[in-house]
Amino acid sequence: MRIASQRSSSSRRGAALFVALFAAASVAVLATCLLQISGSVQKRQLASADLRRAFYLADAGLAEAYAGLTIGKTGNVGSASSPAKLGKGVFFVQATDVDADHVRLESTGMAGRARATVEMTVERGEESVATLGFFANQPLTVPAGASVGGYDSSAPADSSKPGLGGVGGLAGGGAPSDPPKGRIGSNGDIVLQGTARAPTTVTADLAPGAGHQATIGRHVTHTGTISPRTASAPLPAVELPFEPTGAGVDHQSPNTLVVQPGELGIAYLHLASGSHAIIQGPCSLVVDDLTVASGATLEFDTDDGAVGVWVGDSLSFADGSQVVCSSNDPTDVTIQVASDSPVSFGAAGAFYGVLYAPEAQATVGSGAAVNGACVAEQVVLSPGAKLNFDVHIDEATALDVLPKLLAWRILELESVVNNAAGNDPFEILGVDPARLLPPSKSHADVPLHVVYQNLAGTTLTYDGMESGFDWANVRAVQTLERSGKPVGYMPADTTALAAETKTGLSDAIGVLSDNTLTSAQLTASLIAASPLTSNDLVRIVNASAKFTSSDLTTILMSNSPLAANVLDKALIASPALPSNYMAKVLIASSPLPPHIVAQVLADALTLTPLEKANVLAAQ
Amino acid sequence: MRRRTCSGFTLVEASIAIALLALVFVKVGMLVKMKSDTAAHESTALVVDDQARRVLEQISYAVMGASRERLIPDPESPIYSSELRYEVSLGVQNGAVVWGDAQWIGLSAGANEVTWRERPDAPDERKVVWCKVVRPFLEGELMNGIDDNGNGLIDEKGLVFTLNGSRVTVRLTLERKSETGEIVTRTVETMVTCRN
Repeated sequence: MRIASQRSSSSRRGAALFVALFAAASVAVLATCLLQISGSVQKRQLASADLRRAFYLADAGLAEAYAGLTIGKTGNVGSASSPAKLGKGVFFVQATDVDADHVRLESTGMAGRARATVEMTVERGEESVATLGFFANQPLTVPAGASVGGYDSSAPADSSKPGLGGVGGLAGGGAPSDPPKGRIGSNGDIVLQGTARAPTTVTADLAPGAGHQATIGRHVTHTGTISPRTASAPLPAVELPFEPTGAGVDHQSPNTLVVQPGELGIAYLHLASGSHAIIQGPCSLVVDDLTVASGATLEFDTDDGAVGVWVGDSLSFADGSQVVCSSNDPTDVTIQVASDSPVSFGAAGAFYGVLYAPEAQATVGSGAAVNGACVAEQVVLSPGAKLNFDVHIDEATALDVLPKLLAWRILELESVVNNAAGNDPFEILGVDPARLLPPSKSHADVPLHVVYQNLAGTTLTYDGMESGFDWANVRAVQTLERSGKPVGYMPADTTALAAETKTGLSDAIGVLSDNTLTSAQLTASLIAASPLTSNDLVRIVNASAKFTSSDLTTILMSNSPLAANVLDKALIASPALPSNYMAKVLIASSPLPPHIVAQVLADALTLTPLEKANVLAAQ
Repeated sequence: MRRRTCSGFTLVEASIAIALLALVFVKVGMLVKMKSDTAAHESTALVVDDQARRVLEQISYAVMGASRERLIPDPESPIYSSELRYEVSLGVQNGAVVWGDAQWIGLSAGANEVTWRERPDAPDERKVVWCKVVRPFLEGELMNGIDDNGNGLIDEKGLVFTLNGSRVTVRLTLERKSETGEIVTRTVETMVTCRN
């Protein structure tokens, strides 16, 4: 019985244990399964997030490279061994010239263990030759009786017509006291001539070639600046967009000949005296010979689109011929001459357009008025010729300077790169994040030529690698060339330029963005890079939370005496330092500017009487 | 005394013990089932959510490199579609952009599979099924000729592309039965800009 009783008792205990174990095991198994699923999903989601971050970094790389191209840089940003650091990721961009006009940018972004590579091909931007105004590759002479000015075709209708209400009949949309100025340029000398009987009025900025000069003769009224070019302006050759395979047209009838919108290529177009032809835009006309005889009229109807005329051989608007344009916007009509045969433009009436003959001599007749631009190997002006440059051309062609996106594609999207190499891009690439530069500082270095005004207002010239130039000292830029090429795209003002170049902060300041460094490490790095610029020091004081008071004082003392702006805007205006450290810094920067001494005397600073006495004693 | 101690339970005691034990078993069983159901639902929800995001991402990366001029349906049309035909750039050669073969993303096989096709309808067509659990209609939508879910689209399917210029909005609803028979539905949406 005792044995039976013990068995019974044991059986009851076992049943309870079994139930408990079964329940616990079931829950454990379910929890494990859920955890495994959740873990694998989370892992995939993390990889996906890393991939997305890497993709955005690669895209940011393309944007940085594109921005570089717009201001004359190479498009190369960082490299695999020294990528640009952005947040917790990196990117680097490799630029490859596909041909003279196209650049391929390949940008690789890395975040976590993911890597993404995207590619963009852009067409280089070109500054429109029309912005040169009236320009000759050879020396240019404005003869007696000619007039040159400017107008603004975008101004209200009454004032946008050249010849209305301005000096010498040339002013346009602006106030009478500030008419738009024309633009005369040359790769050689510029001579303005006038006589008592035929005075010459020139309301234009003159830009003679590099090493050449502008000469203003007697009886010439010139309004505008004279600023020689720093380099010759290249005049690209004209390429016909298609071959003129059609038969020629010899139009002699009084009926109007209409050239319909579209593309037309013909051997010649001759308009006999008394005939009339209209070219309706949008139209591309390629013709070997274009002749408009005296008494004939050629009309450009650009109401529905622009007209482009390419002349393969000769162009002649005889004196006494007539030209009519339906719009006063010169970008609507473009005549380009590919040959070196002399071009004569003697048509009466107002021609609103751009005449471009880079290899030919262009003669503007005495009764002709060219409103827009005229660029040729040689420009010969007849007495009485009128040239009016449209200042709106600058704005209308501004976008041409920017590179154009042609193609974009994803080359690589990899969630997990090189598993064994590390868990972040720094480990994978084997680079020290503290030494990496931000994107704006990672562009490939280029030769820089800049004529600028420094903060003191002095005009200076810098020639050398851009890394050696301190943009923080620039108030205004007059000329900017990178790799020997003028930078076509210029920010509207120097504030924008300063912002674009990150106010010239030195490379050393990049360590401030690294949140992993301690105050001591930051201090060691910054002292090693001293002396620092004023802008750097202001940034350091603004980031005072990253430093202990003594470390911040050490950095400031190492760079003493401090400039007034550092003392003014950062040190005194912020509670970065306790009074004893501030007193040390003030003493190290003594003698202090009078207004700071005045603040000390007025107890505007929280100095103890002893500290105040010490600071004043140092003055 | 010893005999009395080992004499066991009375019938009433035994009945109560059995009843209590049964109650405990039932409760434990219910708890385990409830946990099991919850786990099954949660795991299905996680999987569906993950799958929806992955498919949406695949579609986004594919459409991103497309040319807006080469999208079919025409991007300017104020319509929506459950399929998209597009071409991606392969780069530039001799100044001209080179385009790849036509690609297609849409619903197939009874409208519940998201399929990517290269050279669609050509003899050498390539085809990859990205997902097989697309809901017949977008979440909240019924086949009744009205906009039930208030997104401006009427009777739209489980995968829908809305085109507006170079921007393509992609909406996707996946639906799956968990092991317990419960329906798990996830809807995701993104907007992509064609870069070319």
